[in-house]
Amino acid sequence: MSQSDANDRFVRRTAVSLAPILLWAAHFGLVYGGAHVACATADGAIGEPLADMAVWSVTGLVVLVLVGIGLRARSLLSAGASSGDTNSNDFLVHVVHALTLLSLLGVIWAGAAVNFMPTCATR
Amino acid sequence: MNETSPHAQISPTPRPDGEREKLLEIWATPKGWRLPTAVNNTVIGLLYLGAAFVFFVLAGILALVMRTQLAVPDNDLVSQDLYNQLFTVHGTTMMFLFAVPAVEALGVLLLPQMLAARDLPFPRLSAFAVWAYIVGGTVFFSTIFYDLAPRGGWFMYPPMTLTEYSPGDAADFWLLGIGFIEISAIAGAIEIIVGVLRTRPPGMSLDKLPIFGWAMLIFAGMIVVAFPAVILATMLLEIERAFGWPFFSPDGGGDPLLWQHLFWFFGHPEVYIIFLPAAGLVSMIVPTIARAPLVGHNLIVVALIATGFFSFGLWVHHMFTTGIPSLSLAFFSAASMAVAVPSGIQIFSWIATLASRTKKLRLTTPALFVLGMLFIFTLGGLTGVMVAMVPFNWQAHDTYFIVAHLHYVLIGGMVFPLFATFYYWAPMVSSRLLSDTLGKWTFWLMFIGLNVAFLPMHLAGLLGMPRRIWTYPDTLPWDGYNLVSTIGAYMIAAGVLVFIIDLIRNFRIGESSNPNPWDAGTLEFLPQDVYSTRSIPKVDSLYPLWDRPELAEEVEAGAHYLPDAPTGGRETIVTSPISATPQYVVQMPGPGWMHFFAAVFTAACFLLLTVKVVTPAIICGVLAVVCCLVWVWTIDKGPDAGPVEIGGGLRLPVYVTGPMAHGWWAMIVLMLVAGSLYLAYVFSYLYLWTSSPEGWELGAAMLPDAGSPMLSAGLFALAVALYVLARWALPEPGGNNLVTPALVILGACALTGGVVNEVWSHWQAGLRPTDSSYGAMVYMAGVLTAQLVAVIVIMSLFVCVRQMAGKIDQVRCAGLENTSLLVYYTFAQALVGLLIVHGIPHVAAS
Repeated sequence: MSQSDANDRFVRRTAVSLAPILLWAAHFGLVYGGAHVACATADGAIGEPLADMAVWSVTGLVVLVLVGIGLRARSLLSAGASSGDTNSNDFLVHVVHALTLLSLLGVIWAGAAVNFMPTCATR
Repeated sequence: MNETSPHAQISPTPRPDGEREKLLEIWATPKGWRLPTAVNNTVIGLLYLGAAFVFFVLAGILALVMRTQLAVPDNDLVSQDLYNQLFTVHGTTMMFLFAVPAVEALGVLLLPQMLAARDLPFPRLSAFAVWAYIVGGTVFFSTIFYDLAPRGGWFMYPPMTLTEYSPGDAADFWLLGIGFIEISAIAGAIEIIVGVLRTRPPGMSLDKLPIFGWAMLIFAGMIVVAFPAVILATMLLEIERAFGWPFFSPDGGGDPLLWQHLFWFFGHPEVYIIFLPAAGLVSMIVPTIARAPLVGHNLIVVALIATGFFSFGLWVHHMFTTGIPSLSLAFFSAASMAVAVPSGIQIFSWIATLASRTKKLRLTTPALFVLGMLFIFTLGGLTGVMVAMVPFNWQAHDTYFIVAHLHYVLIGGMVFPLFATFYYWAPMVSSRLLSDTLGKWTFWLMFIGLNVAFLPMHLAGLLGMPRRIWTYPDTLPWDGYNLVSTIGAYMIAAGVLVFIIDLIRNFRIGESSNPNPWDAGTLEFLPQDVYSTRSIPKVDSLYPLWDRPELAEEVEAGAHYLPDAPTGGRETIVTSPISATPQYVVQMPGPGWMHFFAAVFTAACFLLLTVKVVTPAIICGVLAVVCCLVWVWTIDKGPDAGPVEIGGGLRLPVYVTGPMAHGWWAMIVLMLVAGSLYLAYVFSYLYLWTSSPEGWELGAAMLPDAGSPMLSAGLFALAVALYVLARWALPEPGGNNLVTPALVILGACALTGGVVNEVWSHWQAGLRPTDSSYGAMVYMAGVLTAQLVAVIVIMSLFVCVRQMAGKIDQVRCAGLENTSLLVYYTFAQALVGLLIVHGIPHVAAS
């Protein structure tokens, strides 16, 4: 048995389990960081529409990936699990599904802001 | 008990005579003047918790002085300068010396018992963390008595804390003292992560891990990510104060807002770092109160994970008034409101569990504190959603509304669960229960006092009363609210006093005649002694004591795993991280002085540096390193005592290396800490670039030619290759050679050369760290890599000495393996640094 198998393929299964919320974090970092850099460095006429489009694109992409992960959670997790570890696997599938829903909420909530707020204005 | 059910007969019973006595001897707690040598988790946990409680009381006394000052208008009980020190030390002590240490203490105290492990895997690390915290915290707190306390508030914003506006050593006490205490917190976090993931009992797969275990795992993970940001911030500010590198001074291209970003990236998750373990405690107490399993166990786990992550998207909501673009504010506002969803899941789950009970609710003291927590924390959460909304935040920012909100959240979310914990888990360590009558007095005084103290503050805040004012004129309509708040504060103090009386009267360290007075379902209520449980049970449900009432008797009879001490020393079972399959028996260190002296010398080093007594500080630093090396010399005991029988026909090794070893895991967590620190640096670098791009445009002209970073990168790569070769060149067990030490030394030299070349090339190009924020950030990259290289040099020398002593070979090689891991990480960090430092200025210039 390899060390990875002995460790229950911990890295892979943890990465899959946390993927939805990690995607939320990546989305958050990208839209905030992108908007900040666009507003701080680019000319307003170019920076604002660029930032808006980037926020929209990243949000749409992340939502699609999240839905994909939510739908494929069981197969993604089963690939790393031993046959005698069904309880843990079922539990982790629940975790992925619930985290996907919460992450979708967070991503859509943040991404939707671009519809209502000016991008670079401070008030 | 002479017979057990066949299902439970993992180890044969009755056990041999003298086995229990041997366990008692091995795990005996040092007494008297040798107490500092103790490493047992119950001793360390109690010490930790006791110290945290003392700091809670001391900071509370400061709060009473402040409330007395504010009780009436135009009061002159204390001077304005002393008032500034009071609120700074009160906030700092409550957050850094009470809240985080208290929950970490509970982790050290409760986790091994909940996991039925003999101890956490690095007991001396816990002991080191405790003593470092006690020494450092005591010195920091005592500054209030010598007019040496900082005045900048618990978040110490520059420019007020720069040398120009805060001369003297007061701010340095905060920066070095708190930075040091955070290192202690990180040490505890590493212990908790590895402990929860690797020392669970056989069968306790992740789906059966108690909620408090989950909460502590996420708590520790959050510390790993959040604390490095504030450690970097304190480093930057201290370096600016000491050497004039302009990170925060706008004159040199710095930006005071960088501090706010770094501080609140730590500071807001800090609230959840405090809350999540407390929520975990509540999730353990509520099922016992209700005599029913927790409703939505899996959802609570998800809520804890989600809260942990979402909390990192909230930091800017402390900066809504700093002129950040509206869209960015909206991102943080969204995250601030989204985090209410997982918090709500937990609240509704607790309510549903209480509602699902079939018997009448017994309003014991723990139950009262839990119900009080539900009420108070929910109110604090609601005002939290209010301040998450940008327009309201603009109005309420820096007013007493915020003071009221944060106290509702922190006292409701952490202090009340902590008091519930005191009463609920006292039987685990005390031979007597605390008094239910005195407990109820404590609860009602604190509950009523809290609402009397802090509810009026909402109104005073909405009427415009700003935070941190020393006094106010009687022409403003705040006097009545302040008087009521002061009365409430004294009621809380009275409640705490009653609790202290209860402790004095009833708390007696020792075994309880009834270890499970609440009829709880989890493992910490198994019969305990200094060795934890007599044997380590096989677990197959979330509430094993409810599902198998005979379990306590079986465990006490030694019918489960590891009923003896097969290696003749302290040990526990290490299991796999998800399914909890037994993997090996870890041999753990016993009592010793070195962790204690290492903590004292480390604290002395930091504190002497604070008052600029450099030579003694360096001597203390060297002594601290020497103590650490002596301490770790005996830890790697090698494979000679194994494999051993642990019961159920299982024979396990007593020594493993690589990804299965708990030391390897600790090293990985340490690398995550270093990675978080470096990410915070990368953020700071990019932030200052966007804040003052002219420095970066000029910097492109001052960059050394490409050959210099290529040489550094080559040296770093050479170091990696040498450490890989060193591993291959290790002798067979019993053998010895000089090839490995030579390769290791050469590798350390290559790393050192890489850093020196990088720093020297910038110096040669004419760049100085004091010239601009650009220069400061360039040299800071070198500082961050150099500190890792310094650690690697020390570890490498240690490896060389151990090999020459015949303690490292092909099998027994954990020391070299862990050093190599740090080398690989340093290589990666240094390459990222070279790319940023030599790449971004070109982007800026173009």
